[in-house]
Amino acid sequence: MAGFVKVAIMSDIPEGSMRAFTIGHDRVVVAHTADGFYAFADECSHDSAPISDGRLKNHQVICPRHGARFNIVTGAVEAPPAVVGIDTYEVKIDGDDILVRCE
Amino acid sequence: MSNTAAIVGTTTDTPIQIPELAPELLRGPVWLKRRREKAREYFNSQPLPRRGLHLWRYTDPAVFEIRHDQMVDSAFREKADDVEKLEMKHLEEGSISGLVISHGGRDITVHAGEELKRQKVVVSTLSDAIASHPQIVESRLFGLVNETGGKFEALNCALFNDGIFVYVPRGTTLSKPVHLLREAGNPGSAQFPRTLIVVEENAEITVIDEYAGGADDIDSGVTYSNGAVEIFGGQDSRTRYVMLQRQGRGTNSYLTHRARIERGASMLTFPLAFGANLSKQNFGVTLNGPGADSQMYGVLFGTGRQHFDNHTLHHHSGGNTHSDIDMKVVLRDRAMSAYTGLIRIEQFAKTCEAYQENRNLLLNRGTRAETIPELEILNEDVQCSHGATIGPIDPEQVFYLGARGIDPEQAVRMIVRGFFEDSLSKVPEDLRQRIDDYVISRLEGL
Repeated sequence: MAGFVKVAIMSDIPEGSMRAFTIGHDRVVVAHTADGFYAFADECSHDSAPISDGRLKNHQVICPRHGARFNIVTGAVEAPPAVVGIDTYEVKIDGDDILVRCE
Repeated sequence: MSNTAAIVGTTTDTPIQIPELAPELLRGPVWLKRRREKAREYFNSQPLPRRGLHLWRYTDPAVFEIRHDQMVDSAFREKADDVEKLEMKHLEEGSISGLVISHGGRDITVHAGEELKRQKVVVSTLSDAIASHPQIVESRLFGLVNETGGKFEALNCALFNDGIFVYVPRGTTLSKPVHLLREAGNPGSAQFPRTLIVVEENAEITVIDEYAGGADDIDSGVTYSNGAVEIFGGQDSRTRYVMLQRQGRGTNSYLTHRARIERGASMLTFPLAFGANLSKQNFGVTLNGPGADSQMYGVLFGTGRQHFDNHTLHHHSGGNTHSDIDMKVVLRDRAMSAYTGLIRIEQFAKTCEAYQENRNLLLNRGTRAETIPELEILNEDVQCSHGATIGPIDPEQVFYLGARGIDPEQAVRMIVRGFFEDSLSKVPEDLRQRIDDYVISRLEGL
């Protein structure tokens, strides 16, 4: 599954929203922000909650279970209770297609 | 796998339905058809469990959804694998008393050894047992694993094609194990294996239940397996049940095991998990009468990107009962294990003892283990304890062995084998060497 994989077309994910996909072993969220698309792991590093059920606030995603916040560009923790960051994935736009790079 | 990712189901999506049962599933007695229909209706009426619900915190329920075209329990026959040949040899030598080989959830072949025939122990397909032992099957099938367990239990109840039936008459002791070997199907197929084991009063048996086969790699397509095991232990019966899970790395495997044991009965359960891409297993024993004793010794070794989600339940519905759980987990590469263990003691079940331990050894960074012990104790006259550990190998142990001339890689192998040794020493002898080989092979290249 190495390389870029098409997950959706741009109209599937309106600006300000996010959507989860399964790519091989990985569950990945693609978020659409004002400056483009970002992809990150759909699992909070604190208690494994699906972050895709949470809220997107600019470049920050808020976990629905305990409120941990992560930067979706870098994966870094921006608010506890999480202390470890989440994985992020490279995104490429090819025409209307959204592609995500996985291992 | 195609280069388009599968979109994960969400709660707003309409879950997959079973439109109708295939004609081959509607054979058999009226009560069976009714139970299947009831399970089908339940399955259709329920949404997928929400991630975050109890027991679904660490596993996405959508991975166990199957397509309509997978809803027929598939059968296939490949050439016999090495284990089939090995177990046939064991049968001929008399080190096991019976061998059942099942391809997919059906296509079941029973080989009975001398002891099995002499002792009048019944090992057959469920469809044969419905004809030969109608009352026993009707009164017990679906008694412990049925639609009330959840959506995926209902799926097995509705769609299982055939199953395996083991019956040990009153006062009978079978000295050698009965081995059930199930080969899951090719990529894209689904199996719904079902097992019913009835051990009557003062009877004794060891059953080795081995799940193998399935897709080797998720990139070539996923094999789906949804199993159900029901075990009834009569008064003063003694049952040993070994579940060996070594399915291929492209298999998503779901299994629900439930046993109920009566006064004075003992149950020894060995959940041994090595295989599958994603394995969610739920083992449970109800201790239903005074003096009942249940012990579980779990061994799990995850490698690569394997994901394990195991649950255990010891339900003390009778007083003066004893239970003990010891789950040992070793993980390497990027493997993940979650364990949730519940001890429930009812209000009138006094003077019970219940213990639970889950130890996790992480061999490198990137692995992950979660452990959640749960106690629901409704009276005060009990003795209970639980403990959990998660951590890497103690460097001092490696140093200690190094000081005696053992290189670090060999030291790690010795420590891991020592970690499992206590549990594996209780596994039936004819299986022990194979389990040890699985452990060694998973330590290669460390």
